[in-house]
Amino acid sequence: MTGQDREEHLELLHGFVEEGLEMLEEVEPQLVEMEKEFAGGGAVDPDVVHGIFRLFHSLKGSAGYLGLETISRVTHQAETLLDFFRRGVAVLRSDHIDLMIRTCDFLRQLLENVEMRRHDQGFESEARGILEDLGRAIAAVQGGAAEEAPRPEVPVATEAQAAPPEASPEASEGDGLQLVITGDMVQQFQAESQELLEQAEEALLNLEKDISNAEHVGRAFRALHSFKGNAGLFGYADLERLSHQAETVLENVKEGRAAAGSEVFSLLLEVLDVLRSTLVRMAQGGDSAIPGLLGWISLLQEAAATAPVDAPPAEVSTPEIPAAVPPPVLDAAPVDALPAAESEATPAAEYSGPERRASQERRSGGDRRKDEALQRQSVRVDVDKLDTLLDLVGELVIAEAMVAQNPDLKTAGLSLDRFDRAVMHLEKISRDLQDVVTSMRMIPLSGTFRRMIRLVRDLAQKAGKKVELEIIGEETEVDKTVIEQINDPLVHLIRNAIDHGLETPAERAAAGKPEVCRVFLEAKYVGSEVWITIRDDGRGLNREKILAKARERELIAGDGPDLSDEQVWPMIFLPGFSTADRITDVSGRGVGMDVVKRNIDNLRGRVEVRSRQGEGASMILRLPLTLAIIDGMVVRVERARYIIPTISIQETLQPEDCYLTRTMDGQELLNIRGKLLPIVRLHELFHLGGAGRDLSRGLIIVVENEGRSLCLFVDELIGQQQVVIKGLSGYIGELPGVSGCTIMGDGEVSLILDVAGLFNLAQGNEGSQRRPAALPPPRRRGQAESEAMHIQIQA
Amino acid sequence: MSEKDRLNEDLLEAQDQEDAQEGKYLTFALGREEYGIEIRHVTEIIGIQNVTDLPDMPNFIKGVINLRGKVIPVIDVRLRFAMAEREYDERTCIVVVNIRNAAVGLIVDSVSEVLDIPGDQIEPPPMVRKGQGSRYIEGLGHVGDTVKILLNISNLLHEEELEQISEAAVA
Repeated sequence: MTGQDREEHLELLHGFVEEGLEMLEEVEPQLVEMEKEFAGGGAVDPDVVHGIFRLFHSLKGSAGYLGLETISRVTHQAETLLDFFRRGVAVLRSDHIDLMIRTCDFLRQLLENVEMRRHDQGFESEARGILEDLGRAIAAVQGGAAEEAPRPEVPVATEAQAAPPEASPEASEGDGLQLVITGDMVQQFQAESQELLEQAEEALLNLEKDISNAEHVGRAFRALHSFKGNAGLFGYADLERLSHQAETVLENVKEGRAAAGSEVFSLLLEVLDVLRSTLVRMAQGGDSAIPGLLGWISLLQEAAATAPVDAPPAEVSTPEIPAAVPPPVLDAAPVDALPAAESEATPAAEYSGPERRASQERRSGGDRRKDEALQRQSVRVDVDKLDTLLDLVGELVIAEAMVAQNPDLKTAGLSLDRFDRAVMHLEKISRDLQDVVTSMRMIPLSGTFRRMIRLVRDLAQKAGKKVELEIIGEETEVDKTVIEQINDPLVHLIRNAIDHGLETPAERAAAGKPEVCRVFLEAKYVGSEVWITIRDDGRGLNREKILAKARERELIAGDGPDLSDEQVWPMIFLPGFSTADRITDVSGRGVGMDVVKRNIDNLRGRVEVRSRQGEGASMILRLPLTLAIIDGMVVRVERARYIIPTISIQETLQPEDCYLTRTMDGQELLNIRGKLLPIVRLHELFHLGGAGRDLSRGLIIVVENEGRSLCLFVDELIGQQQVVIKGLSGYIGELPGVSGCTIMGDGEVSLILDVAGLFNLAQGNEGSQRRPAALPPPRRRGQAESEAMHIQIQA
Repeated sequence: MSEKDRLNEDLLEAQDQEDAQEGKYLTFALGREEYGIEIRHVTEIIGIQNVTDLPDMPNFIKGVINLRGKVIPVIDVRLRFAMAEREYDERTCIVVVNIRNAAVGLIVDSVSEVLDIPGDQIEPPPMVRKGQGSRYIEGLGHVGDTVKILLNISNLLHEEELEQISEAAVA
């Protein structure tokens, strides 16, 4: 078994085991109850029979595509038996209940084994015992009509085939089918299908690079096959037909019966897109019909037939015969119907020591984490509940501040030692609670990152460039909101890199670079931030072009040669700012970078650009780990209190006259270790009075944003605390220099300053700078908490 | 029991009878005149409290307050109607209204009562002046010998001052 296979199935297996155990837990007490009632001469509740039938049916479905053969076979048999009682064909007896309980016990054993060892083998003799018992019971209730009783050796059919026979009796009876497929199951189907399609896509992309790699074919094939099976189970005929046809093409490619050119892969990838978009439509309440299905199918049939050698038409339908299809097992090698021979030799040893074996595996190195991941217990929770929990924690932080900073405590003469200790304790707990809640909302970036593989492939092909994408740190977890918002920026940045940043093979050869371009997509934690970096080894940003464009748009005064790179690069994020000479259908309209900036701002993150002429560029998206609570410095200006995000604060200092310069237009500059930084008096900025106050009567806070610094003059530093960000009302819209507000310990509202916005505001007030062409209209509700999106260029 | 507590109870009672909300108005005073707003817009009445200033806002947007953990903007209705500003006192109230899913507080001199004003007692707004005022007037309600100026809350809160806000933002 290869490590890759294991990893792919890990999540699925984990979910399966969890779900299975859950279902067993639900059914077992019912069985026991039923047995009791039976003993008391009571009647059987048909609902319970339905329930148990559903359990076995779902387990069978999942086990089938996970390649868990034993479970699949046992559940199939049990299902067959139950069907008789469910349809009222036969009467349930107490020995049947006993058999069901034994089956449940055995299934639990198997599930536990799956959790430990990721497969369900090594129980062949027990399995045979149960299967034979079930078979006998079936034969008995059928009144000896043995031809329908499946023998234990018969491998279980895939779900696709299993579904129709069940559907018909239910349909005629009119009460079964709706019960079998629940909304939950459809949701599960959606999630799994997306995953499977992603797997198939990844495998196809790998396969395209390395056509001879049988492993990739196998993976793509298995993923598609499982998808087909699921679609069949749910009766999505179009999905099933299309995936079946795609599978056939792959099968033929695998067997060398069909040509394996890049057109084939493009076609298959397109088909995956069609399947995916159909799923999306279904999730939005649409039906499962695929427009143009027949067209796709005939294209696929053509592809399947473009054989290097003669392809007998009969072979095309091969996958329909279940026996010919290797069940999608974990192991790459096909599994025989009864792989008992080797396992049976040591069943006792394996059975008695799963734990020991698991721990050995854990110690044995690389797999350690995966094993633990599999054994981790988890509960599925509604996202709304998580959101509510996060809100509540926010309220808790506010309430805590209300207690800790309660004005009543200021009463003179109170001894607060013990109180302070208790508050410290409370603060620690609420911080821990915050961490836990935050971590609950974290999702790995892998899904988002992997989608980029396909994007890079398509774009590179279109642009005629050779590009290799390397993904680093895809396991990095970020908040759910980040996942939702990060996709578009990544797409735009990667498009930009490939379309503008990277050179054609010829250009690269001329520059003495390797022909193949490299793009890195990396995620990592840095302090309390997540950094997502898109790095390429292309030609880098063109400083002259950017400056020329800035001059053209009158964003800078003069030629701007004295601007530092840190000041030049962010200009590319201004709306409509594109230096591309021509607009391709990929990029160049100057919209993309604006989207990047906007989404990252929404996440209260920042974009850093690094570039070296001829060597490549990096875009670093720096995002905060939590989105709702920040560390802030509370300052007082006259009667008002403001919060400055601690992350933007470089230092605080008491200004001294000798370091002060005042220009003729009244701008004050403070010399801090040789750097002259403008002073912004918050009093004046926010019209609070106190004009011309002596700087020595207050404090200077040096804040930094995108490589620039300025000094904020405030009256007093009150202290540092965690603040819960609340949006200003949608009614207010966006306030320049303010990113949101928070409720302080005394119940009053304080504004959170937006440092980037302050730079704009300060410059606007000085009147020495043009503001960007247009400010955005008042924002929608809920966006107010984001920072201002515009960057002002400082000359 | 203060006026506003009593009125809050009246409000709750009137709002409980869903179908009977029609034709019910909360009346409040600004200077010598009495005004009315439909009670279906009114959430509650609270006393005046500390308002946090917002920079660069039109003068009638006084700022924001903390309403049990929610931050809502408050508007001084006097200033909205370009009337003279007046010191807030213990009778000053904030009427919290909910328009287009946003809660907004309206600062008024004092609240009066919840009144039934049947449709046939309401005159259309005066057509005399095309100016500022009449856009905010929904109608004029006769109650006995008195006249209540019934306000169009939606116009009061939105339209024009949205422009003002965006102007303020651009300026």
